[in-house]
Amino acid sequence: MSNTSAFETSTQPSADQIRSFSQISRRIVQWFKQEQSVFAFKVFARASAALLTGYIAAASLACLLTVVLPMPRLESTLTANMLSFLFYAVAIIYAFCVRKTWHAWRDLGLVSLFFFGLLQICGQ
Amino acid sequence: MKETFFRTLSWLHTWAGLLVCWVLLLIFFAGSLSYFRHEITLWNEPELHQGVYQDYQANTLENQLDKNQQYIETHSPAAVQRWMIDFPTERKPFQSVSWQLPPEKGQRRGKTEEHVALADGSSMISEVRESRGGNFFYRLHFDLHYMSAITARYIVGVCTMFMLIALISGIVIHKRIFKDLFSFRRDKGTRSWLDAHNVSSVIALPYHLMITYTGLITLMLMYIPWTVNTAYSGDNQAFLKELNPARQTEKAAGISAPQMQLSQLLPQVKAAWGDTPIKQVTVSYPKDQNSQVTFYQNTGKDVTDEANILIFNGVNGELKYASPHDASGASATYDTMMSLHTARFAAPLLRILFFFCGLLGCAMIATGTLMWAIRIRQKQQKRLDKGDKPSLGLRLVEGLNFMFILGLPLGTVAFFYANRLLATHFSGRSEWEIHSFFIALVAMGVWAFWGRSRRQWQMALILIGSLYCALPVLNAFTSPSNLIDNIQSHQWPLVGFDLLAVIFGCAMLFASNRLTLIAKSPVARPALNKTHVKADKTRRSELTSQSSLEEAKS
Repeated sequence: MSNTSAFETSTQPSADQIRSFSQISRRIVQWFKQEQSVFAFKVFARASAALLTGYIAAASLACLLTVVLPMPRLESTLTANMLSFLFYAVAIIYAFCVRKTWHAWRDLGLVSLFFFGLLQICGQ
Repeated sequence: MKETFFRTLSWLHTWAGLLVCWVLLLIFFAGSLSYFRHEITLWNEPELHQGVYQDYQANTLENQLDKNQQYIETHSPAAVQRWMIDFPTERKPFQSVSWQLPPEKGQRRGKTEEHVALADGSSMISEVRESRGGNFFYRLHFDLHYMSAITARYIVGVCTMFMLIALISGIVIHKRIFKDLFSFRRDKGTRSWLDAHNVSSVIALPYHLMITYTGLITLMLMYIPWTVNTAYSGDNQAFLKELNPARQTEKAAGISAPQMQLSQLLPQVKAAWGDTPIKQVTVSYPKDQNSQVTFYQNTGKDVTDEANILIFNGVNGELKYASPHDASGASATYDTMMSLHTARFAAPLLRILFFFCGLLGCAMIATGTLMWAIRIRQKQQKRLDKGDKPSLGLRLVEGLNFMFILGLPLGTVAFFYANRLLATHFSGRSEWEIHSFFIALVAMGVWAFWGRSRRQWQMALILIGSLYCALPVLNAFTSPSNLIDNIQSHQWPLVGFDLLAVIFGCAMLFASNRLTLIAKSPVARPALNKTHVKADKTRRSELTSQSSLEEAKS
């Protein structure tokens, strides 16, 4: 961050600044290439997909069920709500088990969108 | 995540369990204690230990209601929001009247004052020491403390979800679930820890799954409110009204009206319920035009959490609402789930089983974290042999283990000691009882900072064990009746409390004793026969001894 502010203040960056900037960026790239940090990044990506997108997917499925289930609305709300934690648990485990990291985001996102779309259609 | 599904779930099990294990331990521990919420509350109010014990008397109800109503009318302040008359039940074996004052500024609910009747009917006890009793542990297990209840419930919810994931993944990675139920290899280092973890998890597995899932369900409307939003287009009140039609929405009219005699309603109650015992009678907004009288049935052993009630108009005695006899499928399921979690239906033996299962849950979490600490230590063994300091992670894990596994029992016993030793009229006493719980917990943390060796575990266990063993003595000196009196007067909740304290204490002393034995002869003794671990603490003692063995080897 300090580098960017340095660029803004001086119109002509000195050779030193350019060198330090390239050093820092090289170090960042190196850090990302380390096995450990790649793993850390993967864990973060999957955990956030699980907690966030998984929640959205589970919640939208539960909402869909409240609308679709052929019961009085109190019943369907309770049923869907009670099942929602099961959906959430499945979504979380899926996010960690799918083969490629970004697929966790993609699949859970698509599932959420699908259920949300259905909810919009059925909700009318 | 990892190469195979199996290894991924194994990884997930480790981390989902470990990230929140200490909070989970606190929740499980406090939750298990809250099975005995009323019993603990009773123990914490020694003023009620003599002369109040009585059975439910169905034939003098009319007389009792009249007498209590008259008492409330003469003794309560004019502006009260609610009267309550409690009849003796199996778990609260005394009769009492109470009233709720209007809430002060910034409070959601007004304070409740309770007066308890002496069994011979001669007078009422109004001076009972201020104590949260068992309600503290009950609240602690989902509201935590020193923070807003809402924040705490979200934290607890996230932790519970972690627990659910850990359970599911634990089952999947557990290949030989049946065989492991019967195997406990003693004195085999980490292997024994793993066995203990497996046994404590598998024996009570249905319970663990049930309590975790129903725990989420009890607060589900907070965690996933979107379904209500969808079905009721955001009208939360409409949903709550449908969920619980007896929910009072009327406010006080502010116009005074004569309050009818409660005993005049009894024929209507008898017509609806027959001779089923009544648990409580409440009057909302007494002497107001909108006054409302509610009769609560003692649901006893029914697996239900919903109150079976009759609501009457408090001015003219007209029946306004009666709980329906049959609920629909979904609501019945919901009700059953809630009641499985709270176990209000459980008779003493079943309650003890639930409590025991809860302690097995504590054992499951504790063994898991202890095993983790040992594994980290093994990984660092080479470095440690060279005389290096253990890594920060290891020290943190070991310290937190020491703090929570020993600190929670110590905090609890500190809570009970504070209850009896603080001055009765000390203004902040109920707060200070709670502070002493946390002070003891933190004290264990500080102790862990200085040393967490086998020797320290042993000393801490002796300390806590003796404190527990001395509880009946404390009770004898600071309450009007001791253990023997209580047995003679059939006050089983109090007897049970004392006995359980002694059992706990002895188990801890036994554990510390095992630590000494192993310290003296680190050679593994031949296993006598298959050890079926009887109580959680005994199991923990086995475990502790294993850890010492581990250390003795190193």
